[in-house]
Amino acid sequence: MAVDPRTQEAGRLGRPSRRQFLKTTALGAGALASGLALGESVPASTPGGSAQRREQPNFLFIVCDQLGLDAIAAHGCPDAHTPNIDRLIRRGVTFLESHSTNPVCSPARSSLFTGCMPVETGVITNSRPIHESVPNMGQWLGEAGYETVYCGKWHLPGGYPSAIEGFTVMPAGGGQGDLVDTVVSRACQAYLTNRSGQAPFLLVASFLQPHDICYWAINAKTLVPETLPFPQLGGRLPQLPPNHLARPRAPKQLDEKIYAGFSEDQWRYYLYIYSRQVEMVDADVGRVLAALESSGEADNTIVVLTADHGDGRGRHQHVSKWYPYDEAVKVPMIVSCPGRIAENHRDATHLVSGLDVMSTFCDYAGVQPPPHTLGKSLRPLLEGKDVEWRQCVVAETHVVGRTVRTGQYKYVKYEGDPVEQLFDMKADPWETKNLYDTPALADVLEGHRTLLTEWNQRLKTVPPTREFGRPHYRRTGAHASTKGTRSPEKPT
Amino acid sequence: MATPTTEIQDHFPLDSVARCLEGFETPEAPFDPNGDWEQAYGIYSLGRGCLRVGGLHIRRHKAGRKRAVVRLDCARDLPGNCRQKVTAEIECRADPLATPTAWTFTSQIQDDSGQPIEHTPLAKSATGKKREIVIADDTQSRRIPVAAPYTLNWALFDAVQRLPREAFDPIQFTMLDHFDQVKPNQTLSYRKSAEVMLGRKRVQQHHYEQLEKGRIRKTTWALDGGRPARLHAYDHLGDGVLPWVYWVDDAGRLLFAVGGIEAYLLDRREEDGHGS
Repeated sequence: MAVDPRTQEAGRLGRPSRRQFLKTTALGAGALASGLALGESVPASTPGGSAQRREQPNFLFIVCDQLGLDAIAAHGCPDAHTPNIDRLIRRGVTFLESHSTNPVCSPARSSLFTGCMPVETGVITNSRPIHESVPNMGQWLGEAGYETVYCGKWHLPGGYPSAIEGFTVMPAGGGQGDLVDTVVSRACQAYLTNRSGQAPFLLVASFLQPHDICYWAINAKTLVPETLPFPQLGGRLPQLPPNHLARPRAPKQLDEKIYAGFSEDQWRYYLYIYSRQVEMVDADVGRVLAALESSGEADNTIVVLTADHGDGRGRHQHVSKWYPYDEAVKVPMIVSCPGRIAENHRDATHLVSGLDVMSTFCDYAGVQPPPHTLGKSLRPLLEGKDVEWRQCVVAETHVVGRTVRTGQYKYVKYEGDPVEQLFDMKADPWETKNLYDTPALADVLEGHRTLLTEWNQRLKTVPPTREFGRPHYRRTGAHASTKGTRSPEKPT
Repeated sequence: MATPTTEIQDHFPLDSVARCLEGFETPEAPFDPNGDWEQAYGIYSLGRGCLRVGGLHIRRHKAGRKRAVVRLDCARDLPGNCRQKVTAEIECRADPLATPTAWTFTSQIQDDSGQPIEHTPLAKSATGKKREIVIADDTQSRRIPVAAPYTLNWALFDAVQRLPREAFDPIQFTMLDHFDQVKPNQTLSYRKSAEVMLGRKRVQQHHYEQLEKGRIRKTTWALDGGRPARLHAYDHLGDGVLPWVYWVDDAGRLLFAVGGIEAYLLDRREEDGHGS
């Protein structure tokens, strides 16, 4: 019988299950379910005790929506001015090989807040809740004595719910980023200005921009007219990406989903709008960072900025997300805490994932991460330590698609589709040539197939959770196997 | 030569708010953009249709020949019947950008009973100088470098009403969005003037059509009523903002501001005290 390596590891480290964890704490299920009131201090009998708590840093977790890794000026984007995110990059470590676990909002977010892959959280498509057996970051760190506060987009399943298990929620709107993000940043600014509790905090500032760009595709008829609506922009419109027309051979589900309705001017106007939306979220990030600095807590706060996924931005004629191509999968992962971690460091070597945020926070908080997480703490990388790192990261797409990214290659497999993809990301970073049937790379292809098989064996999948607004579970071929399936547990 | 009358749908980006403007009543009262005035706007989300998500009440009072005070009350609807309330008082110069010299603002999120939610109230004041603004609260102040000329986003609602009704050299400026977000490289320029039918309503029209096997009744939609108004439009482009188009009437009164999927539409209900 195959043994889940994470279970082995957890046993070796004496890592408790969430249930065991909760049993050993003074806080019971009631506190877990309701979250902690703002400013409320936590009894000293929580894990780690008061001495540990004094050393526990705060966490400011900034989540953007649809922000591609290279949509930021400091990451080479010539079209957007992002002084605030750039400043964060200068003050910390930015990972240039950072990958979403699934370039769709809800699945990716489920990973960010649990450290588990979407097939392990049950959130395989949008608008599903995290499986009840999987603790979220708020629940886990709340148990460790953190004041856990959430403001902004959640989407697991509700977009902007008034309650989230494990968090105190500051209501901040919904719908579209240009209307809601300034409310989110203002609320976070107010929290950082007014908080009075002694407990360390986890503040999630979850912005919606530049996700609004979706409307420029959905409502293209009115928002992106055939005649450029602002002719004075002419020469200032961004250039099309070099792989705009690239159509590498692809599984059918990928091949069908190009956006062919725009002229070159319309594409360039779309890119112009996207960059403005990136700048809008940058301004809101700046407001929160300024409030953190004014609060006097900046030196003891680890700031993480990431995104759920990127945007097509005309690459491979794509808008929006869902694709295993880098435009959708690669996202910023910026970590800053002056004095604690390296500054102005660009890590272009280590493959990191949305899975890793949870483990990183747990590491700095001095608590064990939840059992069954595939995430790795970024702490040794942030502190410049030489450690053995993972060989690959994996992303899920379209429920049945899997992408394995190693240092040099990207391998894509859609269940039931004979066409696979293999890209040499060093020689062909724009993903224009599918090399999967290149005889000289047969061993590379086979090696990546093996990596995927091994990865799947490590997963602890759960049934897909119920899609918000749908009466029944939707089961798919990807989840037909019960091997390694985690049985649903009632909340502890 | 008379200018042809056009429909809202003929004008980007007014076409995206056409449904919200059905039955719009063109203001008839005299209006002096250089004097004292008071206006109310509905704030609309255009992402999925045309949904009202809040309101903005704005008042201007002259303070001598060269200055004015603009007061704002803005409310945004939030989930759970909560709302964000923002108030501000802005001392401005009576110049083309309504340059702010000092302002105070408050922000809070209120619950469904109108009480502020814990930790959400904020109150700040600011002063604008030539190359910086200083924003302060009870405990500390922060200096932010700003390249002049500059203005606040909502001060533009005042400023655009005094712009020429014809082409002029574009105005370059820095914008302080929502009181404290510095956004450089802004441009305000003349877009066009047009005679536009406002206040039209969509009505059903029925007619009968004789087919080979019998007569059928067909229903179509048509625009009916309304009044022509001479409108003047200005473009606002820049870093960190979507392209905005401001539409003023012949008296200079700001009727509509549309930026991407967000819009402010003059709200007669609020003028009458019936707004949200």
